[in-house]
Amino acid sequence: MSRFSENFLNQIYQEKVFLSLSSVLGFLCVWYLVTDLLQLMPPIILPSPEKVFFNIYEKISIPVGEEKLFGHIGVSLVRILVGVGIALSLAIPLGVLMGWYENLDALASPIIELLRPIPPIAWIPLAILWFGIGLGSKVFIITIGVFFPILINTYLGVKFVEPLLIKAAQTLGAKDKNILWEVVVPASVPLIVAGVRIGVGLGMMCLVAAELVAASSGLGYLIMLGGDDLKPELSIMGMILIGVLGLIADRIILGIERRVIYWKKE
Amino acid sequence: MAEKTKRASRKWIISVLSVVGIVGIWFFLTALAKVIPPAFLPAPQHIVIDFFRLLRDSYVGNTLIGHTLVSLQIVLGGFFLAVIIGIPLGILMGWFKRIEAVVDPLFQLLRPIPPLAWIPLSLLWFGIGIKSKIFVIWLSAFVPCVINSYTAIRLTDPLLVKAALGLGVKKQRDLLWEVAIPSSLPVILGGVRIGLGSAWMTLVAAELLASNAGLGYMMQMARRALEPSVIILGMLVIGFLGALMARGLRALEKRICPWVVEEEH
Repeated sequence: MSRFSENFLNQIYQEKVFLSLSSVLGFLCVWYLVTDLLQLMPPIILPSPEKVFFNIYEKISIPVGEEKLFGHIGVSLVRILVGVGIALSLAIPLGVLMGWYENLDALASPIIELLRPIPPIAWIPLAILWFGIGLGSKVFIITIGVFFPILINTYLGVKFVEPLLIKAAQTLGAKDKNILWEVVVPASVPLIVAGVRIGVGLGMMCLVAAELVAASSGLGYLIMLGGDDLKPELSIMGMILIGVLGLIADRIILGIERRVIYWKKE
Repeated sequence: MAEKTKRASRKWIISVLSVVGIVGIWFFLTALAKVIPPAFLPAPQHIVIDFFRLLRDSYVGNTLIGHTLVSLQIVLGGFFLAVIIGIPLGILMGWFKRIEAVVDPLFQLLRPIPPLAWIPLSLLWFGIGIKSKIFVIWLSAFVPCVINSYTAIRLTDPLLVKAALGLGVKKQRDLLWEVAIPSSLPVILGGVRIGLGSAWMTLVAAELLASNAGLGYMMQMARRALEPSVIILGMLVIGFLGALMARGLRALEKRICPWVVEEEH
């Protein structure tokens, strides 16, 4: 794009910022217009933006169901963290071992390939039957959701590590065990972290689904309650908070990624 | 070479033994030793028996085939709407800077919200019928379709554009249709595949929550009736159909852009 002068590019950039800002503002204005000013939408269908905002403010001090707002956020956080923790501690070791030992690969792969196509959300009824509607069933579903992407990426990362690296280590006299832990595993970290990122995204979806279907606390419960009680502002609040939580989780993983694989440039 | 085939055949034997072993252990624990009560985990043969039973008799309103057709109809309806609207929108966003500037920020606001989380609002807006499910499924497949088309067009290899300009392409429109879109096809189709997977998952959630037919509904009813064999049957059908649809799309991808080097392992 060398035919554009600096000045012209600058102008395009300014126009872009202007358009973007007016787009978001326009969206809020239209929302405000159809709800508050023209009252085209009844508040039990679509609440006005300021109603959503004040609802968030209000729910910080007034409990909904068993908990106040931060209580619900905390409950959801505990569920996702426990699920991610279990999935990480199972998937990474299994993936490394499967990628390294062919016999284990042959043993575990067919079972994983049978289970993998089943969406984690389809496990919900069975999970409720097995673990009740408490913490157990939610953690189980989140674990399943997070487990497979991490396992697959770890496995692929270990299995398809650059053969040159292994050969170099062998030439330098490294033993098999050292090659695995000091060459293969570090080399597959980028792919593992990518798997964690996909897995946590999926885990957030599983969290919402599990809390929508059967829960008495958590952000998914708030979203469901808003629909059942004809209080859409409650649902929209829950959706916004889940979105923010997901964004924060993603940023944290990206930050870790940058720190762990500092040697790899974008 | 002989070494390689020997290793491959040994791998194959271990794999078969592994599946047989798991089913064997399952059978032993449930049917022979009866350590696990059938209300918790039924014996494997019960799932086969239920499969044939539900092929003939109706369960909560439909046979297995009936429930499957209801689910497929909704998922494919929402999915096609998403593809038809999402790909053109993504292409426009990628090609025209002004459209990008207007649509992209709205998109970034909505994107972090999992499509599943829209289910209660959608029920409130469209009722419990087919419309609310189509909306949520459309949303879940729409986002990946737009994102992938948008990114692919925006990141069109500048070398290709320069080559086309050098070879005398004059109109912007030709550049879009003859260079940018064809070179973006693999990524666009990748988005379509992600969208289908996402749609299938969202459908299950929607049917678990509020429905009166479909595979998710069948599983939810089976949970209330404490019939885990029907739940597991539902999971297997959902998994099988999901894998089948993914295969179908992959075959279509190979047909549409045969120049893409296979990167699957």
